[in-house]
Amino acid sequence: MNAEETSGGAVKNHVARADERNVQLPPPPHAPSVDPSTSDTSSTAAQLRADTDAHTGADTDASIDVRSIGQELVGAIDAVVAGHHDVAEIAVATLFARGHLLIEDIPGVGKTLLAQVIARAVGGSFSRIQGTPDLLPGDVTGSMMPVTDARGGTELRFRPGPIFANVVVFDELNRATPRTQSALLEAAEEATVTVDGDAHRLPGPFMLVATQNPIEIAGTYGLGEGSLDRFAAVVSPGRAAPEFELDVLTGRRGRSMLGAIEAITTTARIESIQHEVDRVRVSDAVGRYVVDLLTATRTHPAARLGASTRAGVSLISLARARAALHDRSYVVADDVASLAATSLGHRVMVADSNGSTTAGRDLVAECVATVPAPTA
Amino acid sequence: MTLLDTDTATPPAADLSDGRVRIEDRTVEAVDAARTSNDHGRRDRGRCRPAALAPGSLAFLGAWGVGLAIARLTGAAAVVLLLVAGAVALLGSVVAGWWRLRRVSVDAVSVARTATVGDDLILTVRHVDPARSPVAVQVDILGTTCPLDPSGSTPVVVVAPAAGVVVDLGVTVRSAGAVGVVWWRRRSRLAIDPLHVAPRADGAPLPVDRRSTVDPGESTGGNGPRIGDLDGTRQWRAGEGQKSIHWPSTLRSGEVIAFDRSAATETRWVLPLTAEAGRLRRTMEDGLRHGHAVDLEIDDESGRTEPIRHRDDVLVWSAIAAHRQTPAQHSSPDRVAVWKRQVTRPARRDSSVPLAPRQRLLTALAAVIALNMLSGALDASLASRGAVTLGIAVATGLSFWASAGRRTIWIRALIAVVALGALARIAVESAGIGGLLEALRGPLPDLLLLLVALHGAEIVDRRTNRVHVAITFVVVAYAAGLRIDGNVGFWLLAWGVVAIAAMTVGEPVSRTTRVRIAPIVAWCVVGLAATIGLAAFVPIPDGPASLGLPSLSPPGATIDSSGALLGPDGSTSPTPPPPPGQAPARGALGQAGGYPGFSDTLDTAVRGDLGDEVVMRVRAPEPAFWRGQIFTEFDGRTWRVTPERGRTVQGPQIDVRPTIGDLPATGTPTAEFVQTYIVEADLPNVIFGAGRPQTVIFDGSVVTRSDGALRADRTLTDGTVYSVVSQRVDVTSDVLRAQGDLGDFFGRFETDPTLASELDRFLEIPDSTSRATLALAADLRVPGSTYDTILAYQAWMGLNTLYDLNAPVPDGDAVDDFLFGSQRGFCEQIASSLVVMLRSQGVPARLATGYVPGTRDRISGVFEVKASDAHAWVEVWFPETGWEAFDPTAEVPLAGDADRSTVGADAAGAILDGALSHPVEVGGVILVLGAAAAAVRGVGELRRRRRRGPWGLLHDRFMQLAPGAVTAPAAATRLMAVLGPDTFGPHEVADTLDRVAFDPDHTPTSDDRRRVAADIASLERELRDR
Repeated sequence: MNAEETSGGAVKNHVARADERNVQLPPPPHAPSVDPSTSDTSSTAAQLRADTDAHTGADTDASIDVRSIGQELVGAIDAVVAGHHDVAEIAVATLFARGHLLIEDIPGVGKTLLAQVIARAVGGSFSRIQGTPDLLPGDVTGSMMPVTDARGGTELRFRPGPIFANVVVFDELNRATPRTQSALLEAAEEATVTVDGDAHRLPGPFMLVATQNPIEIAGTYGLGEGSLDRFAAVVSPGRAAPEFELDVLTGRRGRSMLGAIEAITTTARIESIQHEVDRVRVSDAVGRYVVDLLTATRTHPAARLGASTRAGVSLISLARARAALHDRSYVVADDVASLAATSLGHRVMVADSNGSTTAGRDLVAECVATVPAPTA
Repeated sequence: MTLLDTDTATPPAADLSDGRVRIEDRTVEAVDAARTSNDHGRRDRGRCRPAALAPGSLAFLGAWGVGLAIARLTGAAAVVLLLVAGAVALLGSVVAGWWRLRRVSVDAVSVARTATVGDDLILTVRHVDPARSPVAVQVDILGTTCPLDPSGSTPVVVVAPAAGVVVDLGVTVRSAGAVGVVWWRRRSRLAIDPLHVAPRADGAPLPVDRRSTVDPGESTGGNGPRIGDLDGTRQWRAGEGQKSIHWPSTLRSGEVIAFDRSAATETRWVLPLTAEAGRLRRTMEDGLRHGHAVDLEIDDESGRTEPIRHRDDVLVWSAIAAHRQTPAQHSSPDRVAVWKRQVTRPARRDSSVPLAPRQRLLTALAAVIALNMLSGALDASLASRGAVTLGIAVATGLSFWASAGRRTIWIRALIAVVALGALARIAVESAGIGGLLEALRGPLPDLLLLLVALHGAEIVDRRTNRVHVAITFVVVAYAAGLRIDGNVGFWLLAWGVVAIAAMTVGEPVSRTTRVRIAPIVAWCVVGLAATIGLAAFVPIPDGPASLGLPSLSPPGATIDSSGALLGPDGSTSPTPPPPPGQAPARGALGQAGGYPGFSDTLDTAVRGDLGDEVVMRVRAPEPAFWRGQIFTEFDGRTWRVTPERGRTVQGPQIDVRPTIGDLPATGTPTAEFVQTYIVEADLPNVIFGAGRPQTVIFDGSVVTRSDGALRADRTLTDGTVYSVVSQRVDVTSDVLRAQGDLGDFFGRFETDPTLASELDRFLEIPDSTSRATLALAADLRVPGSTYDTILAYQAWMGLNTLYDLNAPVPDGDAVDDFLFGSQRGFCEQIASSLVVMLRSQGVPARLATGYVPGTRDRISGVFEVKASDAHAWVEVWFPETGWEAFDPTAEVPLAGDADRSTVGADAAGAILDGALSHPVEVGGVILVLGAAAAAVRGVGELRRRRRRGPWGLLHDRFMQLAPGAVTAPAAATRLMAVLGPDTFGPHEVADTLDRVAFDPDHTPTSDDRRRVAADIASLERELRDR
């Protein structure tokens, strides 16, 4: 990746952020009953929508594509990573929601493959970092390097690190030292790298796919609550079913198919999809449902610490992405219910969890089962 | 808790690749086999056994005992019925607990893999309850009690038990049903993932064998083990020195952070598994902390070692070590006990938690019913009833106040002052009490009322609620014993329904849960049938035991001990004889007790118009003639009592000496027959009694006349109570027939002058007796059996004469006129004719007056005697069995022939008769109740519809197709799984429902609604057909 692309991405990203500020809250949901005020509300909603459309301008035509592109991406992942359709869907939703993904599982189930396939299918730049204890923050973000110019003078110039890519795969995140982890995650969260007082924007879209092995923890540095909180979703694909395993062994799927994956979209389209996702509406009922779920995780007897408000925000954006994937312009309760464990599980501290996020996911699943979902 | 056997626990092979330590293949296989063989929720089936009484249940047993005493004291059938119903209810609640328990099972207990002795440990108990009714569950292990969630999965914090490896847990499920009198328990064992309880690290570190050091120390220049380079920070571990703390991070994060050093392996420690577990753990932890590679040597022949790389490994292996060393000390298993009972509020029903307000109010209502029932029995004024009700209301308010935790000292003080004042008043009141009955009617009920009202303020939990219901049971039993009117059944029913509701009804769990009527009706029907069926084996009580025979004499007109008759108004003048040749006055004699038979002379031409006023109620097990007067002298028209007077005996206990003909022959079966007379209208001073009175309990003196009649020293005014214990011969027709011809029998005594003169009084016939009468008597006489002769006379009269209260007044001989003249007459004339005919055949006979039994109220067991029940009948002297009453008109069976009824038969008869005789009323009540229930349901349904809206209702309908699903799409997925992938509809319906609910831009049309409704209907059909 060269510097031009980087700066272009940064500009685009900047525009996108301006748009994001203009997007207003969706109007409150109205009752389905025939009410004289309904027409007023809907006209306001239409007005708002028209306003938003005017701002985003050319992106409107992309709205048709969200579902088909999403399905293509999911299909591409399915073609390589066997038997994890739900994980593929969550990964694509995370991409669309501008989130980062942590894949937590035992070795040999295709964690890295999953990350790579996402990177290839998206069509942007891709880089891979292997987490080791001796990896320094500068190795990730890039550092000032002395460069000799034409006149023979030497000056320090920023040399971007591997994080400057659209999709960054960070393997064995918990093997990197906390210092490196923080640098990486901070950069991912802010989409900016600051070196020597100069801010360098990461390209847009940007997605971090990290993997870690929760079992082999000797000599590792477990992620703290704050670090985990930066991931929109944590998934554990687990072992594939025997028939899919057979596919992998015979070469019908798996790494051998990775080369066959073509870029399905462009980064520009992904960005427009991300804008589209931002426009998905969230009714007050669904919002209240999320609040109830957060409260339930906080009052659950086994929870040492419940999910934070940021967790709720992240859950809502994931739900928006899933709604868009299903070709809806509104979030339904099912989006929230099916993503809650993925999105909240690692943000809940469970007593005696031994550092694994499985207990948190179970706890959130219990909360989903008990909190009544909103209906018409 | 079962610990692994020592031999199966060795030597475990650690398999870290899937994050679980396996104990040993054999053990794991055994555990797996145990699980699969018991799968499908049947893992937990053990035997149901009674475990314990629920708190407050003893109050029911106590109340039942008190009720039994009341039944013994009063002999009231209603109390017996109440006792039987109470017993059925108690048994029913016991059975209900068992029934409930059968349907609940604990499915699995999951627990962390490792723990340390004494640490808190979280168990997750999962249970299965097909009834899906709300339940409160408590897990009780090692003294830790935790209320559980009814969702089916509950974390419980317990203290980790003794060190060792636990592979299964004893689980006890307990249930007490809705009323919860007896706890049932079912014990079983549940396999769990092996839990390693490690000992605490203590003692000196073990000496470390360093012979197998991998790095002999080259990295430190041969200076022994040195720890690697600093390369980060991590959480501080207990036991590390102060030097290891990284203070900047510690201050920043608030946690103690330590330097982390590289995990460079310097030394390898090999430790024996046989070492003392606490020290072993300490050593292993030290080793890990210092970055050593710790290995454990398994002490079997293979010399295998196991790597210890993580804290979990330390816990697992030190637990195994502890287990192998001391298997004996774990022989007593610890248990997980799951306490479970049906409640209405999830997980909030232990004794420290307030009662549901509904339940509290129902208990108060039961108390109000009980106290008003008692007040009614005591003829309390409306004001005092109001005061009692007000007291209960205030107490209820206080109990709400108390359960809100706002009990203050001044409330206690106020209650104490009120209680002391009431006690003082009762004490003053009881100072003037003379007899037991007065105490039973005065201070004792007051005390009960006070107790109920005061205890009402104490109801804060299930236990006190039970106690309160038990107290009201005593009050109701007391009232049922005292009450003698016909409404006892309705009072009992009302109290019973409210009391049972107060024990079982609680708060609704959620707005979608509905009360199912069908099981409630089924329980009620079964309970009613069981009550009546059981009561059918209980005979009508014999009446009060002699200990508690009540007597009470309000002041009436008194007379000296002359034994003269006093009219109801206190006048001594007998009925004025009519002028000769003139018909006597007929018609009303002025008063209810003014029957001519209760005077010294009885004119057979006179029969008062007596009216239907209730004159007295008699509590007795069987019907009998309530005899008041005995006449022996007859002049053809008027009967006169013997002028002789007997001795006067002072009450309250009066022994009556037998008079002539009263003593049955020895060996004849006799029985005590207890009657209690409650006078309700002013009566003359005649003491009534059935058969031969032996003992009279009367608050005054009684003249025992030589003819057998009894007279009090005062008129029996309204409110008088006295009891009579009679001797009753169990006479049957065979016994009477076997005594042969009495004319022949008594004819033998004519030679004995003393006996003859005694006998003559009962054999004398008036001079005016016509020849036709004598001829008829002689014609109808059955040789050899006086009993059959009497039956023949009665049959002849039944055929040839008419019973007529308005019979013409006879001119001459009343008997002749009745038999051959008008052939119409009433009881006095009929009885007189029978006496004359029997006497003409040499059979001793006399005339008795009194009351026929009257109508019996089949719930309270009390005979209601009206003024018009006044009667005259014949008594015939059978030498072996004594005087026997005969009557051609009243159908009173012989004592030995009477079918002794039972409480249950009576109650069933009363219910049936009541229903059959008032079909319109019963139907109306059922209709009104049904309409009320339907209205409540309907209003609820309407409110639900309004709240949910049309789409909400459709959503609810759809979600009911797939119970357990959280959202509509999830339900659709489940439906697809059930109905097959070709089904059309579920996802479309779910999408529409979600769109309506969450899409702000979407306005659904009525067509949409119809389509979705049709789709749901077709899905419902498909599910039904499946």
